[in-house]
Amino acid sequence: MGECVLVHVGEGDWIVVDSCIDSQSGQPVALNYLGSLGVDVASQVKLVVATHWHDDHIRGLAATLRAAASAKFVDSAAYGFQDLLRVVELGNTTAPGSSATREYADIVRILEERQGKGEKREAVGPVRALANRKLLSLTSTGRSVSAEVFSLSPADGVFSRAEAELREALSAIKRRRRPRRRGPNQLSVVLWLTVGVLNVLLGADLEHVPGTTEGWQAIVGSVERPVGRARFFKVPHHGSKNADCPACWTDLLVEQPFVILTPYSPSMLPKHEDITRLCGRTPRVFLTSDPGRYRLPRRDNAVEKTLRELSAKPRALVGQMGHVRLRSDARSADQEPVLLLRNGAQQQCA
Amino acid sequence: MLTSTSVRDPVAALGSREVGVLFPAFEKEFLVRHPLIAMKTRFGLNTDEDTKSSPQGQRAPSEDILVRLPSLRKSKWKVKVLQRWIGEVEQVKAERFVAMLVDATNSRNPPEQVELDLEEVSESDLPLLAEGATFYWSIGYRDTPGGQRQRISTIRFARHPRLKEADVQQIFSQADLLAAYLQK
Repeated sequence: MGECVLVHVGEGDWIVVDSCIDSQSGQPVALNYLGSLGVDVASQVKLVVATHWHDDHIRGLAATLRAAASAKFVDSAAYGFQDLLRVVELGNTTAPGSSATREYADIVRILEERQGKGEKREAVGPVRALANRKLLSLTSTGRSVSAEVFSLSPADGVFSRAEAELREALSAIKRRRRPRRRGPNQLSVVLWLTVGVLNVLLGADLEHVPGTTEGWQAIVGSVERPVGRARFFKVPHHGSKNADCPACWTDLLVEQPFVILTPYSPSMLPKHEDITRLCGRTPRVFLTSDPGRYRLPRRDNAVEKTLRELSAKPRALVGQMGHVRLRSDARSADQEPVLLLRNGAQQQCA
Repeated sequence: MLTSTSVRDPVAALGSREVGVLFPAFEKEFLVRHPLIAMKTRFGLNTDEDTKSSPQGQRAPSEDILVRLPSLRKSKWKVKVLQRWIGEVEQVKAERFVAMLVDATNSRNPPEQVELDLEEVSESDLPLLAEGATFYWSIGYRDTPGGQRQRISTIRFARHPRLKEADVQQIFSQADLLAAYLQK
């Protein structure tokens, strides 16, 4: 269960956005895939981004960062770094099984080691992402394709929300509970990538709250964001209605962009109406896997019988790790990308 | 000579004349009923002359025999766990709760979501049932000393010692030092 986005930004350079674990190999999917391509992760991965701290976006991120020895680490500036570390250290001490605190604690150790070896913080991170900040610039004259990476969120107005979230997380941890997800996710990092003449918009889990200066509303209304429209769009928050921003389609995206989304089975996202809505905007909608096809493991008859008697209704949350890959020439805005769908990934619109 | 009420070692109590055990499976462990010979004598059915002349035959026909029960430490209860999960409560409804399960029997199995009745939680654990709480769920068999097999499902919520404020402040101090180092 989870998502990970890899973007080749030209000249063999990569960025990794979020992470999840491949259920077959038990390894981070980014390392699996890049390894299969023969990419030297240690030198060719330039950026590792944690868009936010939900489990389905960060499992395996520390291992990925450790392998990406040349990469800067990026996370959301909405969380005060000191407060965030307090939550991480307390959570990791009291509930070491929690994915989020364990991953971030491991990431902090990696950053500490690298700074201890003399590497500068600007090169190592954490780089705190916020609206309209340039995170990476690969524009040297020797490159055939230049690349820039910007964060479009979080907006200034959500910092108080982050403080409240961390306070609630601390309270939960002190009561020996895992912090729960609450409210719209306005703290995550949306990325805008310009690679050659192509733009890519990675929506993380950012949600849309109309009439506010938060979330997608803040991005659309910003006069400082990079110009242009994206041809490739990672749909936010698993296609949910509360992350749908109509103005994004008119202001941020080309007509009929290529759209990718990942399911989140605990909330049964995307729903059928979400797919219908997306298909109404573009026929190029790709879902990495179909939760309806996830299968429960077969267990001992006594266990199966007990589950039936208890009316427990178990539901598998993970299936095969689906993969959508789009390859396009960054020097051409019109060339049709080469599409690859693997392990249950599907095009959605008829 | 035996008194009217005697405590005996159960194994020694069993002899060729004492066949009053009605639960053969417990034969070697304990004797819970009157020995048959005493019953026969009581009802005038005992015609065994050896019995009448032997010390055992001269004791009162209604004599009870108490036997020593096996200690709990030597209990023959056996539990066979077939499936174990570590669960985390996601939502508590009026009569059920929703949880995410991680398979602790086979870590390669995917996480699952499940809905369970609140009645499956013991009364002593109910105060611990809340969003974010961790529990352990086992399904398996329990074999009683009597040889009966029962299928069991057990849910137990994690109990953690309370955090002392001094410990929390110490952890915060360490975190603050680390934050300052990484941000310098």
